Amino acid sequence: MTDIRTQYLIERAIDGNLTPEEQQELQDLKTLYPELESQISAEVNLANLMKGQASASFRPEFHAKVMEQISREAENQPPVFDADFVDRLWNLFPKVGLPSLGTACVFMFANASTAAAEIPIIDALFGLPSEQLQMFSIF
Amino acid sequence: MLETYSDTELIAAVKGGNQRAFGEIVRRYEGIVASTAINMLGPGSEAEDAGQETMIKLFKSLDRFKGQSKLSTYVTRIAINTSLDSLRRRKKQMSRFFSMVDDEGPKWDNYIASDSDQGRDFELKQAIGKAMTRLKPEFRAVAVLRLIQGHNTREVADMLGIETGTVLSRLSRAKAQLADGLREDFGND
Repeated sequence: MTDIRTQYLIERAIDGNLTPEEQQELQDLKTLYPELESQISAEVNLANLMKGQASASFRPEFHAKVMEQISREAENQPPVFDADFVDRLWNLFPKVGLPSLGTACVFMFANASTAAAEIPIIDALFGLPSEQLQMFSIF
Repeated sequence: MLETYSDTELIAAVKGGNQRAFGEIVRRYEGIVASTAINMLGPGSEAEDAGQETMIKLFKSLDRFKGQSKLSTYVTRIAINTSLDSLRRRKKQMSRFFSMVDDEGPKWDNYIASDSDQGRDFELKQAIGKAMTRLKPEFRAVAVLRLIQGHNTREVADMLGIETGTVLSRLSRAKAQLADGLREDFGND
């Protein structure tokens, strides 16, 4: 790992912001540690690769959903996040396995459609122990 | 019409109760928020929820925004901290429910190419995404802000509320781990 001062100089060099003194300091370091030259070159390449990651977008309906949430906010209603139920269940499946899938399904349904006030109803319906009910509350 | 407004004019309009003005702010900064949330959390509904949460927080805090920083910086700060909160929540949920300690979140293999992602560029985007998910959240945040969005180290420190020295040390380690990850996928070229 590079020491903090050298990393600082490398970052300034990548940004093209080195002062003449810093330029000299970096040059001295390169003389002392010739491998620094190739390290800087590798870091510049990595920086260029990473910049391609900057372009990203959400689904087209994002804007409308945000505005809907803002309207709810203006009416003092809590926001409703509707992360796709099937999508989340699909992501969970390899982690929980079939036996737990039923439970996962139940608490995700609860997350999507209930508020904390409805937990007693779920308790009555499914008779879940308190530990599992706590799981509902953090989802 | 609203698209010709400056950020300052839009903020003033929102403060005056014009919700359409906030719609223009969302349109203007959706890309930055998406870039932050998707690179922190991976593509999928979790990142979109973080994006929505970011915009709601922005809306609620605009009254307090005094213009000390650019609006883009302010939005990014909210987005990165909201994403970090999501990662903490994910870790907590996974450890409580499934004893998962190595969850990487949504898989970049499932990422759908957009028009701008073609050929090797798309493969590269996936590979970088995967390498990013292997970084610890605090390293990932620094990598997103510095390497992907191009903020300088002082700005990154300010956004994350940490010392510049800490940013530099995390950056150095993040870069080394990213380079290793990409070498695994693409060899040494």
